[in-house]
Amino acid sequence: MDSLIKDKKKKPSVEMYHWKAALEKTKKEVEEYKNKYLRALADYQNLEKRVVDQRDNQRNNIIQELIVKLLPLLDHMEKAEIFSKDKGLILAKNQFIKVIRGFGIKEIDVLGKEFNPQLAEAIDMVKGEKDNLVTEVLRKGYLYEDRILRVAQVKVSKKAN
Amino acid sequence: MSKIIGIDLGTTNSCVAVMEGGKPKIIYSQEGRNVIPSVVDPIKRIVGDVAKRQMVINPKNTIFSIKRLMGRRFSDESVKNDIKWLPYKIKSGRDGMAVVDVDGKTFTPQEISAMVLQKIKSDAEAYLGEKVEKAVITVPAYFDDSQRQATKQAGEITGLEVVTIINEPTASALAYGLDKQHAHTIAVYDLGGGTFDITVLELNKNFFVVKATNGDTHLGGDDFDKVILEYLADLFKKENGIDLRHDAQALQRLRDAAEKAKIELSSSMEADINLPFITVRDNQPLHLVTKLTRAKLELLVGHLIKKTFDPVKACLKDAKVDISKIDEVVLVGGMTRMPKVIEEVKKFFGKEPNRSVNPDEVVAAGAAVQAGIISGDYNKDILLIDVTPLTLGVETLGGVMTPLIPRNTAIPTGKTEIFSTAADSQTQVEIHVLQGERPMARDNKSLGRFILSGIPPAPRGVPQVEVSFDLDTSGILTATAKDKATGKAQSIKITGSTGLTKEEIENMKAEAEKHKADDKKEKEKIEARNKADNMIYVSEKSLKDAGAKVPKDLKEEIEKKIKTLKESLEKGTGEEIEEKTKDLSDSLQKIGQNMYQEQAQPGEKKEQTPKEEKKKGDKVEEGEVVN
Repeated sequence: MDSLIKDKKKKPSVEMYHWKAALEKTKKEVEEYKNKYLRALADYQNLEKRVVDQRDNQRNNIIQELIVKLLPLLDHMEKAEIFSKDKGLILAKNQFIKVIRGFGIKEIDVLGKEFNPQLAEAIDMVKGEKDNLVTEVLRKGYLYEDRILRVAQVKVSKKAN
Repeated sequence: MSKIIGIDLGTTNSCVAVMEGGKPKIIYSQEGRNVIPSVVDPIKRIVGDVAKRQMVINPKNTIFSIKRLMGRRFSDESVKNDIKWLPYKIKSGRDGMAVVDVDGKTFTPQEISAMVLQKIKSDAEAYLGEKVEKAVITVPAYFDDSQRQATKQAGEITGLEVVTIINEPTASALAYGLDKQHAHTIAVYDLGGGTFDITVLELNKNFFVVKATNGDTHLGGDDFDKVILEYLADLFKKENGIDLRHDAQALQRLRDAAEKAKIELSSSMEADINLPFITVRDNQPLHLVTKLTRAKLELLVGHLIKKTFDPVKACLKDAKVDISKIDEVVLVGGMTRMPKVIEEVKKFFGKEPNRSVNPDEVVAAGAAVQAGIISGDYNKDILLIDVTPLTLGVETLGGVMTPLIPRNTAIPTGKTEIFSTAADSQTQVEIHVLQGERPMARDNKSLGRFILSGIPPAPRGVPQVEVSFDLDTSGILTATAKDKATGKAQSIKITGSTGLTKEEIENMKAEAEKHKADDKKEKEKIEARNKADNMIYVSEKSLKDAGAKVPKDLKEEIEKKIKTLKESLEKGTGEEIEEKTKDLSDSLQKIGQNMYQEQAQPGEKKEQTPKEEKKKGDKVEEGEVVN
């Protein structure tokens, strides 16, 4: 009876090796998923904050968007006034200005001041006595409650060199 | 752990994005724009839109298109060419590299770009609410080692660790997830503000390799704007004898109007150009009022678009790739929004190009994806199917498709709805799973079908069969039907329910649009029929149940109306059927009225079909009759 018997000692340790490896792998996976979850949660919370901010700002954003599109109307009425002293036109223009003022829109004061690219865009350079002064406003700029709604377009002086 | 941002440091404009919720999100600047102009005044230290506004009065100090000099030697051919038209001073610096001289101070292109990156960094930090320390920056595919090093240095000067530099076309491909779709060969057509680049990429295991690249470094959206401007100015000159190009303000307005018209014509067939008080003659104001049609625009810029295809052909030749071997085409750059450009690209390559991602943002989005891969935010093993492209549903009585999961629903997702049987004593229902947008089942794609049997016999509409669709992240749809009474359930698993090609999806959508009106009519007709059927059933049942309680003349009236309704079901029009159904319904109601008038019998309810009641969220529909 030369029978073989299984070596009971070896088997458990081989198995345990496999189990240990599987455990390590699972631990790693868990760590990975935990990180991904935390990151996703953080992204979500950031999104929540942003959505609330956006919602709160929505009214302002819509007003800005609308008025900026209407401003060319005012630009053209002001240009028309140069050529036509029609009383009705001037009344209409003033009414328009009153309405937008009611929404917190203010004209940016740049004429005669030092050129500031935060407030205005230089369209042309003209010769002048001083450097960097706004000599002419080609298109008015407006603020909406301290924010720049639309920059002005101006001519800037440069000393003849 | 702080996020890695992805930066598209462009010649004309730059853009930045970051991975959020597994997707690239464009970070808006503090001025509220999705891009910032790559323009710098290094003495005043202003960047972007603000720097651009003073370009006219400070031409020598306002540095733009610095990317053209990045990492190049002063002696390079391209530098010599660019010096001819760039208004600022360029000279030879350390090691013969090209540098700019502003008011006597020397700045390397890296230092100039670093100022742009600095603004991007602070805008990103404002958006994310945390410090940003790492970035992925993109460069053109043709950038050599010196140019790539210089780009990396620019990041380092800003205090950013440039985790990696990737090619712009590669970034675009990543933005579309083409690496996950195993598209083998990709053509990236990039028509930006000032440059045109064409690149052929090959997907090698998990990486994109540039096979060839070509382009035109002085062809872009600016050239298109210029053509329109010239056209308008010439038009005005012909009509009024004045050249608006000589007036700085008129020129500016023309430029803005040209760009605006160009953009408008990408979505409209005609654009109004309206410039009141554009100039003055003899103390009288002149106005420029005209229309520009899409057809005219295409005529004006046609030669520019054609010009792009010579480099494309050369690129394919270099890559030794035949047009037919291109698996995917990607469009990058704002100018690719133009319908004519899309059309020509489609014609040339013979396939629909990828353009669903904003072409101004796609490179930055791809850089963010790369950043995500590096930081582990992006799982490459998951198939890139974020949404189900077509509606999924089941077939219901009359051959109608009843949707369960609408198209563009983010996956994984699931939906459960209650259905019922269409006939009395119906003991099984067939669940026919469909995919598509048409209202009729036969016009949609059949994904599979199975039968749930063993439903206890009951009047039609009484059994409650719960049908659930479960769509997992891999796009595998499991459809289950369960009889709520017995608990018996049956299900099938459908793989590849989102495995349609882009073309197939677009075709299905287009077909649905085309047939919308007809389909609607047909569906309404079927619904009218179903309603009529139901009304007949209810009427016959009511008569039977009420028995002697119905006065003879009313019974005859109802029976007659049942007969005429059955007739119109055979050969009547949709309107007739609806009309007769209402007729019958009106008569039917008299039964109840009658019964209440005669005597109030407790427990005798007006025969209201349980099917007609629509509980909130619980829509009881008929299942298909299966024999």
